[in-house]
Amino acid sequence: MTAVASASVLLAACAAPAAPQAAGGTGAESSSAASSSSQEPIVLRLHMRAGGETSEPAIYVTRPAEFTEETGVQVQLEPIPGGEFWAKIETMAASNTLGDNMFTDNKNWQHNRAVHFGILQNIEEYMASDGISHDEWQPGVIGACIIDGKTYGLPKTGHPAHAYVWINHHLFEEAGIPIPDTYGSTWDQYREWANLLSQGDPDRREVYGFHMPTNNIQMIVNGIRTFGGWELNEDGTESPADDGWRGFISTATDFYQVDKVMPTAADIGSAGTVGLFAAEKLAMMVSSRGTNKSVRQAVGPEDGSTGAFQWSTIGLAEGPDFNGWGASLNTHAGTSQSPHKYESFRLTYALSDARFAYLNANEAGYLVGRTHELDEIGPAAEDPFIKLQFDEYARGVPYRIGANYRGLEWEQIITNTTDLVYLGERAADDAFFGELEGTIKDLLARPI
Amino acid sequence: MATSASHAPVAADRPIWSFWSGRPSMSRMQRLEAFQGYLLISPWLIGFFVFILGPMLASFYYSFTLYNVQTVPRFVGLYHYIYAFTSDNLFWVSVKRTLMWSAMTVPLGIVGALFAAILLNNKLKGMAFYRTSFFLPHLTPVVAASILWMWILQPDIGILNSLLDGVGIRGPKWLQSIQWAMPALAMISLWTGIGGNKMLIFLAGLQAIPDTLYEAADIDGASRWQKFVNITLPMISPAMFFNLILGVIASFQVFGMAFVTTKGGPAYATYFYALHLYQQAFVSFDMGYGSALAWIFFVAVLALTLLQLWLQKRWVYYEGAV
Repeated sequence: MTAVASASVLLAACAAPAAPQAAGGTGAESSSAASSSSQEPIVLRLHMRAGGETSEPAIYVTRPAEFTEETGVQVQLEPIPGGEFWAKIETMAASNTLGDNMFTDNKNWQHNRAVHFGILQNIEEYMASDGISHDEWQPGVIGACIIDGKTYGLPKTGHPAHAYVWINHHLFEEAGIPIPDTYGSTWDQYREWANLLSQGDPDRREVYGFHMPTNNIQMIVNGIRTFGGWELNEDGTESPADDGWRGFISTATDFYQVDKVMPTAADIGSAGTVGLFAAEKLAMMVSSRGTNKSVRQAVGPEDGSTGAFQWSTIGLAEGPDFNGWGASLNTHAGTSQSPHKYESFRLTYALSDARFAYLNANEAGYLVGRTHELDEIGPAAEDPFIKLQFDEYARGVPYRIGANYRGLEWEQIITNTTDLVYLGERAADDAFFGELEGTIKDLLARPI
Repeated sequence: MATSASHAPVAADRPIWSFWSGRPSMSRMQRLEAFQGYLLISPWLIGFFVFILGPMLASFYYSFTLYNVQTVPRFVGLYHYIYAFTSDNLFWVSVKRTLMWSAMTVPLGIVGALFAAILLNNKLKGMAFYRTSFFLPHLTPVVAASILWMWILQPDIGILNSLLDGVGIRGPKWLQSIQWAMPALAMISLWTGIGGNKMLIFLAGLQAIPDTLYEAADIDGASRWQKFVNITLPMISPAMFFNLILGVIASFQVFGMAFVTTKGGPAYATYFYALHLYQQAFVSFDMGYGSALAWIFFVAVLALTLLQLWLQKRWVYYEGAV
């Protein structure tokens, strides 16, 4: 074959794929003609993040097995390492080799990007025909699945992420601070307590009073909202440096550089913040749902009966102009390339229904975001952290999404730019916020 | 290739285009030999076209389009190239960081490798062991080395700061410090690179220097330094030139260490060009812009290499050259 012909073939092979299949269908619609005619069992390919079978067996082992028993439809797990998940999904979608269901999340707007490109299937009609109402889930949670009036995927969870503070009762008592109530604490109180709780030289603390992960986009969004701001404007084209941005970044800068009560990433060490908390070198720690299990393992039960000290979890300060916790959505949405659209919808629902909520809460200790979840999850409802979560989920509001879905770049700009103030290189002044605003605006003006 | 008087010139003597140029046609034997030759190299040719030339041509095309993998590419001409040079702040940040990195690691790498090669060019007992020991870090995969050094450079419990504490020095925050992140990565790079291929090339160059030159210098009363400057350096200048070219190209391609350890931070302190390219192409799926960045990089490295080739006349000594 000549060189020119070879190059032509290669260029043709690299040409863009055909447009994805349109979503939709009726509830009565069954599997594809090929499957029904061949009498072979339907096998749904489920793209998941690798490690899920061992870390979350309720989702990837138990419930799919029950689903197969209930429906006769088999589920084939296809793990993809987390770091390359979306790259592989997009590549498969572009080459029309995507499976039937896939994990999605909207932390960096990937779920919405997938909807934009027609990768996910709209399940509005299936929900209607099966009598499944949006009211099964909390409004803020299901709201993250509804895009342009249509529903894409159902929540595996729509959690508020960094909305909880773990507190060490022993250190509080030593510092003479009353143990705070579950709700109602304020940022001013955190600063006051952190200064009382911190011990040692400010440049080399033996005990830090407070920590929140300022390089985590879920924390950043929640922090902005607690100060009454929004992470983006409504059409996703700008991140105006409103009171929320200024309040959160200035507060974090004070904690880092003025009072020096918060460890930087370098100060945290290899065990992380849970390690510092367990070693009683960190008195208050803002984190997300999964941390509770880690703290229980590292420290012991909350009442301190068999552990090093007594501890509890309270809700993060909400501020007078609070705009709701960012609902961090995970789904196992059906794909538009699935030849078994109704079955893939049923699997999506099975991984979001009451039974799933029961398994998930009792095994993993977190919620889906269902309206009556406390009634559905049995013994797990007695867990005080579950009750706290339920209240926080109820105050969830979907993320605002950038117009060009460049969520990871957006996060990178924010974390790298705020590093300058958090590490003391710059002041969090008007010039800084103006530059940050301008950089983000330029990013969000880029093509999709 | 020399041909025997008893055989007609073989097909390999003729350039490939001559087969279409209307020159006297080949004999059946020549055609058969040509066919066999191309058949034997066809695996490499297929690999070259499929995995190198084909993607290069495709990326060149995509660099003039808006292409996000999910939709058909849309032609936009020089939009990406103009954007890179005039509007993308991170483009110039990444160029600056990469140039700083190159300026830091290339000279140190060459000097370090030469020093190591001089040490290992001695006839001492156990030299094979020493050479192996110097070379071993070079065999460590980039990710493993990065993770290992993240532990060593951990500000509170890492070995390095613990040792510095022991002599009364408060170590910096290394990979978490805006000022020290790049020097920390340079330390990792030099640890893996000094005893590697550069050292081997220098070692080969040193061993090729005739002893007679040193003997003649001894007779003339030259000092060690004079012998080094006037004999060793000129004689290994071709090896040095080779290491310089490859060292510069490799330094421009720095990616793995920064990706694993710092992700380009803190505050873009280690945001190298290759990271920026990766971000655009494989995180944001802006394949058009990523392709444009790749071609800008290619042209820049090519220009720099040609410049070095032109400058070599001034300082590279080739024995036997007129």
